[in-house]
Amino acid sequence: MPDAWAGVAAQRKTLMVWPEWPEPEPQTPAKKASTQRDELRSAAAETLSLVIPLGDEGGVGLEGVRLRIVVWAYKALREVTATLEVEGGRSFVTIARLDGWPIDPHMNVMARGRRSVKHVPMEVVGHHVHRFSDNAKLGLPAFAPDANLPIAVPIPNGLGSFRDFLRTLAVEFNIDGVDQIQPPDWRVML
Amino acid sequence: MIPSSILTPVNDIAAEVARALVRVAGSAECARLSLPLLYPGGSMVGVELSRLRDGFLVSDAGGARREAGLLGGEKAFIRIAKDVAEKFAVRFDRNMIFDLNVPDHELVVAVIAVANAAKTAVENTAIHLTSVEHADFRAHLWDRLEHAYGSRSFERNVRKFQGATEQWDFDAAIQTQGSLALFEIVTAHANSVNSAVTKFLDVRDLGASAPNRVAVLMDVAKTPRLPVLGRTAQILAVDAPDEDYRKAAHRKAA
Repeated sequence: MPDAWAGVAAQRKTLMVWPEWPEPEPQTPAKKASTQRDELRSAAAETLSLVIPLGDEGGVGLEGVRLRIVVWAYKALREVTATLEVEGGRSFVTIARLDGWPIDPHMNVMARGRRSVKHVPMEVVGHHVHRFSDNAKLGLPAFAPDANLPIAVPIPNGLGSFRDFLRTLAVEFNIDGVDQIQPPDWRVML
Repeated sequence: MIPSSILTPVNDIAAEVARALVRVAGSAECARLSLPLLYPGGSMVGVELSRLRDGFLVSDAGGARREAGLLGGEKAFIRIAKDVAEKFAVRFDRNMIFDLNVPDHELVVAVIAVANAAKTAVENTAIHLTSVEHADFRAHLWDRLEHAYGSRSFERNVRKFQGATEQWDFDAAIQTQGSLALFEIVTAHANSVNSAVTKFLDVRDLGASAPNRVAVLMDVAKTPRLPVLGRTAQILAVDAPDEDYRKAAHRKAA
């Protein structure tokens, strides 16, 4: 496990740019649900992402360290995810992940029988965080794409808004100022 | 939590387990089943059902593509998911894995097919991400070695080699003039350097019989811990001239 990852997770960080949400991809004129299997329009499944380079608490850029926030373009406060990523592996490695308003439960299958993560519940329903410190106890394989941070714990407080999500993100990932990011302009599907 | 005691019949416990395996949420128009299949990371695979004029739409609601995107593999996923969807006899339209106009009597099979296709597509994407970069680099190294040594003296295969304590896979090997040289690709990441150092050290511990060891660097300027790597193997830039490749195979590391 690279020592630098633990350092990145623990240190105070800042945003190096002020991000703006992109627009969803333009849609072609809506079609009614067709009886033809090939004509399904699935714009409802469009996502929007922010990728923000991070710096240290003095505002000096941290090379290869970034924050990503992913939301559904047309579904407000549903499966909002943030990842803390560092350069490594193929391109970037996710070393921590925060999931707000997840629809499906998370199962801590890798926690079974492991004393190092015995504090982890077997099942997490609702908002949760995949902390670096918990997953590091499983070693480097926990950070490979096919494992993808298998250990998650419920976040201590509930979330009532996108701002709440960002405040939690600021605490969990140690990023100052992240709670000032504006929410995306969530659209309503017509 | 499944309630059980020594007196509870196992088939009753099994029935409770079965009920807990699938979660259902949603509305009269659209319902979601969280199924006992997991994406990498541990989230249950979700499948949504909504009623159409003729039958039902069964889809992953874009969940698989989203998970793959969070792994950094959205482009690979789009290619992989198309093939996987065909294998499970469902559709993929760049966003969602789905089936349309599913009649009532096919709903169970359609849900199973969509869920398994979604899980498989994300898993295959993850495996692809883990292996593809190294596979690309390895092919490049083999091209370079073939150019330097000719195709007769070199096989495009991974070489297994027994070190002092265990057997290792090396990206390539060259046998010339009675001496063996092992080549290992090293990318510009500490993990890659650490892995190569471990292999090279174990081979070096064979002593006088240890073959030559060559670390082939994809990006010399950005590779960390070069002094450590250089103590276990010769260092060679992947784009070095043929002559340097030939010399490296014959020159012992310190």
